[in-house]
Amino acid sequence: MAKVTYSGVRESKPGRLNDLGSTGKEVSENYKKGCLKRADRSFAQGLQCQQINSMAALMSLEDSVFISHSPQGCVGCAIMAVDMYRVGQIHRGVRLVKNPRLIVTNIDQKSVVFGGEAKLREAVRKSVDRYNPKLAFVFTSCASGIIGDDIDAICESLQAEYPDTLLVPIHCEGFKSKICASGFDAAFISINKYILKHQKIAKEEGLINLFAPTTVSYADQKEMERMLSLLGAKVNYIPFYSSLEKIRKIPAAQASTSICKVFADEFMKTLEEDYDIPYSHTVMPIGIRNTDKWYRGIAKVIGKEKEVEEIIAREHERIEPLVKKIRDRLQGKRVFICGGTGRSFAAAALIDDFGMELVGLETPTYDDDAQIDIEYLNGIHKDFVIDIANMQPFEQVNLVNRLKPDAFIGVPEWAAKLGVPTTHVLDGKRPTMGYDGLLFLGNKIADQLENPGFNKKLAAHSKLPYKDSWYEENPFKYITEGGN
Amino acid sequence: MAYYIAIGSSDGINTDLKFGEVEKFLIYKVEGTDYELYEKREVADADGFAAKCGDKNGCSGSGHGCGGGEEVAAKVTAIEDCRAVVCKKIGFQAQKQFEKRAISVFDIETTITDALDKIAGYYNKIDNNRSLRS
Repeated sequence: MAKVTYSGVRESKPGRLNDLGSTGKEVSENYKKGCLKRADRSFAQGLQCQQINSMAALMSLEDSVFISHSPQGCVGCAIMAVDMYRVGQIHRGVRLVKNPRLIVTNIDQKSVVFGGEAKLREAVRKSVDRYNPKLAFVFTSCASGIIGDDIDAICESLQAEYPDTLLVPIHCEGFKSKICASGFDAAFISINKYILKHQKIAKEEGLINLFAPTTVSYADQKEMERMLSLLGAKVNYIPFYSSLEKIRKIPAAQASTSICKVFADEFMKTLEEDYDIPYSHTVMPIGIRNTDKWYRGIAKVIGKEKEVEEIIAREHERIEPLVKKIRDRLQGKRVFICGGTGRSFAAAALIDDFGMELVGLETPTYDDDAQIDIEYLNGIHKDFVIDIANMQPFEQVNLVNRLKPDAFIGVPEWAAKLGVPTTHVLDGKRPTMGYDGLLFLGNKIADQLENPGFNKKLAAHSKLPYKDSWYEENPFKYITEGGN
Repeated sequence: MAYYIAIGSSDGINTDLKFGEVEKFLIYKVEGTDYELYEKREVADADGFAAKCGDKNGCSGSGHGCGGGEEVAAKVTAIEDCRAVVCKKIGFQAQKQFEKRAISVFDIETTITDALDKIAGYYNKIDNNRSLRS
């Protein structure tokens, strides 16, 4: 059979599911039996789309412009990545904080009827003339995908005019996939095709590619780099705050690993196939167990298994008394977790360090990796609800209101308004990862629980848009199996 | 359901007039993807709109255009039963006035048949909840 090129659509791989409401036990049994079906919702509220992830993944690259061939609203969601970029620069000591150069072609009705290619050509020309960047990324959108504008051809023809700028088209039409992480894959596929070009370069001893998602703070970056340097590795931290040169160095690495489980897993597979770079794909280093696992994973790839055990033992000795202090403050509290696929499972394992009890978990996708985590969680927590949902705040508020957790860890937008003490685990500004991040996060959760005044007051003064009757309903009422 | 599209054309073949230059709009009646010329609608009197601007060749003269004036309002009102208007160029103020009345604006220089084929095809699909991709 001919080798099928991975399209960047995560659903194309078997065993990836979205939209499901179940319990931890049930989901793991059904997945084992192969009984889980891809479902849909007859009512859905918001969805994180691929384009935003593609853009967010590259937003902090040096000397680049980002041209979004889309209606204006599509780039609105990039606000989070822009914020992260600005704050990230301050943390990194940049005095003159820059905005990413984000240009949108503003596809409108006329473009839909008569084609939007002229607008894109103009946008590319203007942005290259104005900024003279090294890299110009062109992103597709739902609208440009529907009308079928050929961005590859436009980029190719304009490339001849602008030899100093590398034009990179990225196919991230939002409707292609319901698994938003496909957006990262789309970006990496284009990077491989247009920047790395399958060219093998000389290996650099001890260089490790560290793929980091958007939401990793500078403190986390330093912690990860510290941990890897203890193993004698040099880190090529990509794609956040990197540059064309650093991206070009990807094939020179000895090994690669990713901070987030879902961020670069497909790309690391490609790197192994195309450039013989072995990779470690384990978990996200949040919590003692996961950090150990992540650390051992990468150490194994670079053949430092003995060294890593010594370091882990040393770190444990340092950290365990401190974790015990936090555990005394958090023991037995009931928690609801919501976050990206990698992070929410990592966070669920983390709360075990603190002796907390998991009552509910919301995560966008379910797959083989999630199954491993769920089996592990089922061993610790006897009964918890699992909601496979990309966003869908209405289900979350129903569940949180029903389960009445003592604490909420994850994306706190809505739970905060229900008066539950919340801790943001997707915090791209403060430490969450590694051994030191664990302490910070634990103390943050404990502080929140002891002083929930902000959430209490917020709940008293704000109202969510749902009727009381919705809170009585089955939270998974709108999930329809088989996608009808 | 049938609807109308107003076109600014000097020769009945091309959409070659700016909105300000149009004295007679060609009103096409569209049903599904079929269309026919329904009427020629007069929108300005003999020494009309363009003359008052002092620029026979359109509205670019003063740099202010005829934006927002009563003439624009009258002209917009004259074709407000249409679903869309097609001209070579349509100024910002006039576009806003059409937008308020939920009339689509297509400022494009092409042939009338090309414009109508594409616009009627587009409306036909969205009215019947069909994908624009097919």
